[in-house]
Amino acid sequence: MTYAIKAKNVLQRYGMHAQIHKTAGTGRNEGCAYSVTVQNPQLNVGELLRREGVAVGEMKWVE
Amino acid sequence: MIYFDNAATTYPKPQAVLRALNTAVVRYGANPGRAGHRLAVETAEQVYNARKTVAQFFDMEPCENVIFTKNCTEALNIVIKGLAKRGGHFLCSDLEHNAVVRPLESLRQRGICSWSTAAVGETDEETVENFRKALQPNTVAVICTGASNVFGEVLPIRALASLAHRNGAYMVVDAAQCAGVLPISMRKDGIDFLCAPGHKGLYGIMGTGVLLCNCEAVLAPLIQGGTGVLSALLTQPDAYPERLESGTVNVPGVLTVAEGVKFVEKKGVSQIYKAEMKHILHIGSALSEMRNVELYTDLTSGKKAYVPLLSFNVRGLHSEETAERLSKADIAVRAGLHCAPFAHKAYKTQSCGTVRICPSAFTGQKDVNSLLNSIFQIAKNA
Repeated sequence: MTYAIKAKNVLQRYGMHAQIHKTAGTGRNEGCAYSVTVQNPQLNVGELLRREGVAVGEMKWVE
Repeated sequence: MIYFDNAATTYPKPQAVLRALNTAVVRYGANPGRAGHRLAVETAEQVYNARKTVAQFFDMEPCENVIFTKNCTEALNIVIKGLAKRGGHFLCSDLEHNAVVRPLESLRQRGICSWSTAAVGETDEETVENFRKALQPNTVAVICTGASNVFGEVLPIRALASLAHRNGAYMVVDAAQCAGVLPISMRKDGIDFLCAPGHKGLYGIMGTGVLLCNCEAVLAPLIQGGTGVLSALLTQPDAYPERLESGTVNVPGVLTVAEGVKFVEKKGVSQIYKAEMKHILHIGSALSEMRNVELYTDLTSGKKAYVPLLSFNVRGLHSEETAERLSKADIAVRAGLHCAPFAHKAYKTQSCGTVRICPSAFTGQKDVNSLLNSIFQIAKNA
């Protein structure tokens, strides 16, 4: 949760609306996790988060 | 009640802290970092903001390296046992609290690590030299109180950190008596691990503490358990803070610490120090003129810096007897060894302990006058 909040704060600082969700499980079967969704990203979100010190486990693009 | 036992825990707490406590219980009642519903996320965001407040206050980043603990002792145990490795050595000052020396002694008795002390000298230069001589090739960390919890003397943290780093050791600071009254910059002071109570100079409620990690070392966790993430794994997550925060976080406590830090920031650390030091200098000056009173904290020598607290005894009375008589006048102080037998050994006061006086941001001149009048009466009749 800590890093999901950190990610959300970073995205909001860059003017993007982000939301935190509990994730059923990651592809690596490591159990509980949190994810952050962002609509209409203005920037390369993965790169931005990594640059701000947020480790990104997985990324998904949905309609 | 006239309260001078603020070195044990500050009392009263600021109104804003009490409001934060109420808000935490009433409004942020969900478990942070476990579920995904709105209240759980909102509560987790409050805890995250508290980490940011604490990190900023001690000039450290990132904020996820702020670990919330139940007190300073737990924070020190996490660092000491988390850094311990077989054959390693720890070096600490001879003024340390049992929160430092007991975990060290426990490691020694289990055959894991050795430890030794360096004497705090008459001057900072002498202290640094004593530490330099006591360092060993296998010294893992220098652990040092920021200021003695019994006599108030401030230790040269920045110089000791520099010394530790030159010898490949970490610098660990027990900030129990200096957090909130002395400016601390983990970045500038070179502190790798800072342990502080949330309920003393930071004005949070009791049962709170913080550990700030400002280096690459990944501490072994003291306890293992639920973290809300990576729950399919049998091992603790690597990432802070979850790695070191198993189990439900004390949300009401955490939010009071953040509010307490804001209170200190608003008043100003230097202003708090100045106001409290004014009281202590007044008390010290008055006690030095009283017959039958022995003052151990030499505030006027100019050789050392002090935090605003002092220790004294009334000649012919055990420290506990003096404290008992003050208690009858409804004045709260602490007597005895203050969980710091090494400090008393260094000052040769281990047989009867000392009476410790510590003001807070809420202490007034009237409180000081009442205290002095009571001590005067006790000393006169001793």
